[in-house]
Amino acid sequence: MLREIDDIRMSELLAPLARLESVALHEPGERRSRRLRPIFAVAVVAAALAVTGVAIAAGFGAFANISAAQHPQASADQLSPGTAAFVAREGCGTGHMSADGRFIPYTCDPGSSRLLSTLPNGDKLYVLEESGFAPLCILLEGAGLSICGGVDETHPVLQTASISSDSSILAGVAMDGVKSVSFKIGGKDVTVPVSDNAWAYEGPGEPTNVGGAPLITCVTAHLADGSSVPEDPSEACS
Amino acid sequence: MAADSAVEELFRAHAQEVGRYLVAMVRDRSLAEDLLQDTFCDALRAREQLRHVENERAWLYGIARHRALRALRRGRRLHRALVRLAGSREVAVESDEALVALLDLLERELDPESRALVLLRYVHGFRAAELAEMTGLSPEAVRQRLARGRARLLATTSTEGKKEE
Repeated sequence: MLREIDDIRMSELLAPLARLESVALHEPGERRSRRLRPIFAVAVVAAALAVTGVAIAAGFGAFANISAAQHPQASADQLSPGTAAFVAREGCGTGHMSADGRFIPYTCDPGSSRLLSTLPNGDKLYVLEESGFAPLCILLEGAGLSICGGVDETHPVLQTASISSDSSILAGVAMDGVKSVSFKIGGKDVTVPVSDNAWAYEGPGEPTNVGGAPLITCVTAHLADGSSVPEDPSEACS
Repeated sequence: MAADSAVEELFRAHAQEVGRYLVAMVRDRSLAEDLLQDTFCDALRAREQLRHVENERAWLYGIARHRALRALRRGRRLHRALVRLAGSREVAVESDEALVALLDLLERELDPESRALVLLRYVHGFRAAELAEMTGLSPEAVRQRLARGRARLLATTSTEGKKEE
């Protein structure tokens, strides 16, 4: 009974919060968060290299910092028609809401694919150019996963993951100079090597995160010079 | 694309209240906007989960809660520096004095995790069992944290009320 009275008092105390004005989704051009900073950094690097006369292969801008992708597309890089259709349909699984409430998907160019790695389970990891909101798509064919983003000195890795109660797959790209990537999954510390800008982990199933709590934490890039760059410096990872 | 549509529908239905929750949590309108955007993107990325989720609204709030707590952890040092430099609250979002006082009270008396729980329980109407699923805590642990937060807030407001008398 006392608790019910206290509950009522709490509801009364906090009732003014109903007057708090909400916020709305904004257009990507207005975005101020850290996600656009890697895009800017990549653009600056690409422009600087162009000025100094470095040859820019097709797709270089999107693939800056990813040497293994900086070559003309070969037949091995090309997506199967089914995968190309998947990429064209799904984009990278994100987008934004326009001012008039329409969903604008971020799209990946299926014709720009470069194969980086084939996982032990046969899944292929590709990088592709994105439509303009982020420089890069990574695609894990087989798992049917794609994500957009960029890699630079402050965020040297970009990954996608498929976690279920049966198995866990985590795969991503790392910028030039990254030798290994470490992370925690299901309470375990894992370190995987980077080869040709690609890295991957396959492990046992983990509980899913219905509540939004992170399953994979403390993702950290370890560079050849001995330094490390955590994805989220505020995370407690010791 | 059906899953995309489901996330869109869910977001359209709840973006307003989730936005209000984020503003109350971080007290910075531009950061709350970014966090709302992040919440939407996270929901889209995890859209396959939605087929197995019983309580879609709780699922969406769970993502927003995680985003807000993560941003608060990241921003705490910067915020302290801002307050020192400005000598006042730089991030107050309202001119309504009662509302500002209430947000000050919540921020002063409750740590971010407890504040998230109290707001979700008493402003957004989630039950302890739903909060347990959102946070990974047991329902009993949620009840205990809520009880501690409730006692602290009510004791403080009671003391302040007596002082004013």
